[in-house]
Amino acid sequence: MGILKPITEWATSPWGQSVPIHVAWFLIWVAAIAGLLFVIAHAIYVRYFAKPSRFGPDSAPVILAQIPEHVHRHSLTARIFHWIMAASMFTLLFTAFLPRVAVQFDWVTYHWIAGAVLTISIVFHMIHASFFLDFWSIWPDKIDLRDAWRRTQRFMGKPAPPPERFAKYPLENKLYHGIIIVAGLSAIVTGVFMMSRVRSTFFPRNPYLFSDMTWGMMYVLHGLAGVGLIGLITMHVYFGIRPEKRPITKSMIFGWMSRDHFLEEHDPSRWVIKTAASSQAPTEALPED
Amino acid sequence: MDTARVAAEVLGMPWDKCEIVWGNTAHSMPWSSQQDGSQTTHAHTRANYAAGLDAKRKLQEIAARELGGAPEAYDVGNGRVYHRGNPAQGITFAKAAERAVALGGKYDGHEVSPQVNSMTKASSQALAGQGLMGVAKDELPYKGSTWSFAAAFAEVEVDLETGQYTILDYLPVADVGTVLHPRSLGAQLHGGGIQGFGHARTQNIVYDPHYGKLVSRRLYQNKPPTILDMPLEMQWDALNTPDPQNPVGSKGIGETAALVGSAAVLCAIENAIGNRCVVRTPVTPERILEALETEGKRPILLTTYA
Amino acid sequence: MAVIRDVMPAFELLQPNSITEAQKLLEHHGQEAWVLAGGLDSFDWLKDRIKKPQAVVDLSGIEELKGVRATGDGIEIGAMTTLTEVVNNPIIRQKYGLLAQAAELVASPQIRNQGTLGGNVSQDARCWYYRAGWPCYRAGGNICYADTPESRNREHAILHADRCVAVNQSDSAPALIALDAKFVMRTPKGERVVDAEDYFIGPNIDITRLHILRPGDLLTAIRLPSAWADAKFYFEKIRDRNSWDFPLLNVASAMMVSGNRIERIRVAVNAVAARPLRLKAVEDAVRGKSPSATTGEMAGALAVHGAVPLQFNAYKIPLMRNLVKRAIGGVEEARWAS
Repeated sequence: MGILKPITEWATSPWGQSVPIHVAWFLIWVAAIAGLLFVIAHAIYVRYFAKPSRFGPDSAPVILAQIPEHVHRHSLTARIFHWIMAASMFTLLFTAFLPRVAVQFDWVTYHWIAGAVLTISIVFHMIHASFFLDFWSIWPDKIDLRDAWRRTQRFMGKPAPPPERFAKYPLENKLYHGIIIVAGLSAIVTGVFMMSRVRSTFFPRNPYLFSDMTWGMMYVLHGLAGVGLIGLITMHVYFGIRPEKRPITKSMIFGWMSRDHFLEEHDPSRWVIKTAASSQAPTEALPED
Repeated sequence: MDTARVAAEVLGMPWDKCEIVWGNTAHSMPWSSQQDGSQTTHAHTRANYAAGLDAKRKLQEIAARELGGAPEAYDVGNGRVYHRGNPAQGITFAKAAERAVALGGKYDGHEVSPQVNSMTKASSQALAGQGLMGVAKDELPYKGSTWSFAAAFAEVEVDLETGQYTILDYLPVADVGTVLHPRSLGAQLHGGGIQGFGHARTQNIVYDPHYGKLVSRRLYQNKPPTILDMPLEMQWDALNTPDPQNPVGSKGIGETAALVGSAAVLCAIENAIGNRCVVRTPVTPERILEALETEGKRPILLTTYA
Repeated sequence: MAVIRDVMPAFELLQPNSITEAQKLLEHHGQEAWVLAGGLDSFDWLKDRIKKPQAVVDLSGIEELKGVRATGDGIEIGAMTTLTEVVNNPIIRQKYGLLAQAAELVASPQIRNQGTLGGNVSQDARCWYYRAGWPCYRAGGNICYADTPESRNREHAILHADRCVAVNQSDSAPALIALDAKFVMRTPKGERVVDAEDYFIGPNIDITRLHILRPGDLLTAIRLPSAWADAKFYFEKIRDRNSWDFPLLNVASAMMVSGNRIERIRVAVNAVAARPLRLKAVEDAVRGKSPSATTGEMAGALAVHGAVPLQFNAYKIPLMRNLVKRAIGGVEEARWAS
């Protein structure tokens, strides 16, 4: 518990017990600055230090020839989910932190409404992505890990074969998504419990659902997830507007990416897409995408 | 102090010539009883009466020894013990006290009756030899219990729109047997009455049910009565009929005064509103408003959530 | 570890001589400064060791904060003027009697001798959970102990509750709102004047304070414009005892009546919400009507629209209704009902 003391605020409960009540608010600035520093450091690195990426051999020409001009990447459902989730996420962050650092306004109701929207959208996403999309595409596989090792070796100047092109998502995306799961679900689960502390349409109000200590830890977890998300979202938006990533961002709006961009970094045998000549395509079953 | 007056009366001694010493066991003062069971006046008047009788008996005996005759022939009064048939034949208390010291034994406190409480005995022996000492256990006859009673009347005026009310008038009438000290009794009846008004009107100890902690921690939250909540003028009266179980006829007032003040005000409010609004104290404005709003049914506490 | 509630915690006592000096000190110490006026609110916090400021800025030596002076249009009352001085001031008694009435009902004579008008309007909530030091929303925590199905909340809010259900219990505040007072502050950006009703905020804006003062701000004076001098006033305070108590509810109104018609009116109530409420809807509804009991009843019913009772404060709804009725129509002659 002691490790939490510098980053949390504590109070004395009515029974004289020392309990945490929320994160220390300076963490907002820590997160914002950390996000900003990452952005700056990454931009500088890419601009001045990064070597152009080198991948392993291309796929066979016959396969390459079958890649259509517009490569379908995100379905309409997936896109709608993403932007609703993004809107609610921004609303949550602004209503949570703006009153704390700048302008005070009536934020609580908007916050839990946005939270409800986020919760529903995430529940939807978990079901949709697991059963209607390619569930495995977002999790690191053996090749990712092998290639990560190889890329590290090459970065340090040691000899190693070049990595393969990515499946739908590079390892960085998958790891980021993993962290988002942790931060997002922490915020959502604690947030759902916190709905019993306010007057809403969902639950009858019961501020004593848990003990003071449990509630305190929940608020701390909610706050840590929240400030963590400040940094994470900063990073995500940054990557979204980076020039080399813009085609991907566009695909989240329009649903497709160009053949050229697809061929740069993606491996059609790892990310199997719908092709024009699917009847002549390799015999693997095509998952819906 | 009022109860010590009984001893003075038994000895026929003018009250303003009496000195009352109390309070300090370091000075070998005997212990008093606790103030308990609503029996203080009753018990202390009886004890003082018994001790006074003991002193009187010793004075009579000393006078008889000095001047002849039977002790019963002597009487006490005005600081002298004198022969009833011939008042000139007598000695002063001071002289009698000198004789008591010379005689020692039971007269000056060296010996006490075996019935006397051991603490009293220790005290009397520590104080022995200074004068004539009257010390006795109350073994006067006693049949049944002794309780004090009071009936009180209160008039209130209730503002039906705000639930506030004013106590306009108050009259407690007490049965305390023989009244020992009228001004003191009046003060107790009114002082106790005011305390009772506080219980009825505003005083409350409030706990938060979830944490079990006191929330009415300060006087402004606990609300003892203020002088502006009292009627400007109050009367009082007492029956003054002697209680047969007490040689002086006295009994106490104490708690009765507070209880009766509280009850009278509550009855007056019920009488004014005509509703069963008094289900608990304190009767603050909300009790009256709730009773009026719900037309006399049990107040329904409105809530908006389960 | 035992929680000690005895003996004030150590602080630096600063005793400036001028408004400028005081404001600079407050700005310098920011969140760690505490403003000490009459002390009737401050000492409760300090002696219970619940609030522990590092610096206490004592305003008692600042003469320019005291006294009542005439201005071009009305009067200006220094924030450090004691309530007794306000009650006894001849101009206030004569022309702005509403304020004298309200100030005279505050607490007890001893408190009025020491308490100031500025302090009375800036007082902190008296919710007994908050005052016991429990870490509620108002104290920076994340719960309201008074807003639960069983908690003891007879003095709490019936209107505009937003997580915190404490009320503002100032008696002078609604009177000042009814008199259209202006509150003058000295801030880091210079002088700032706001309408009385805008001086107070509810938990939806900032749940930790009842007024708009930020660290570095100082309330210096309250101005009463002549527009409402000599109006027809009504003030009533409902409390448990006839002295010392905070209001369960109070109402203040200033009315200009001509030809049995209400020409202009301002009505405010307090102790029903976290800030004193100016009842604009009521004012609009009664303007042009006669100041009678019937108008009052209509106004009262309108005033309590949207009130949400808690477990123990439902009585405030009929009480507010009746007080607003009286503010418009006066108190009816007592009719013996038996």
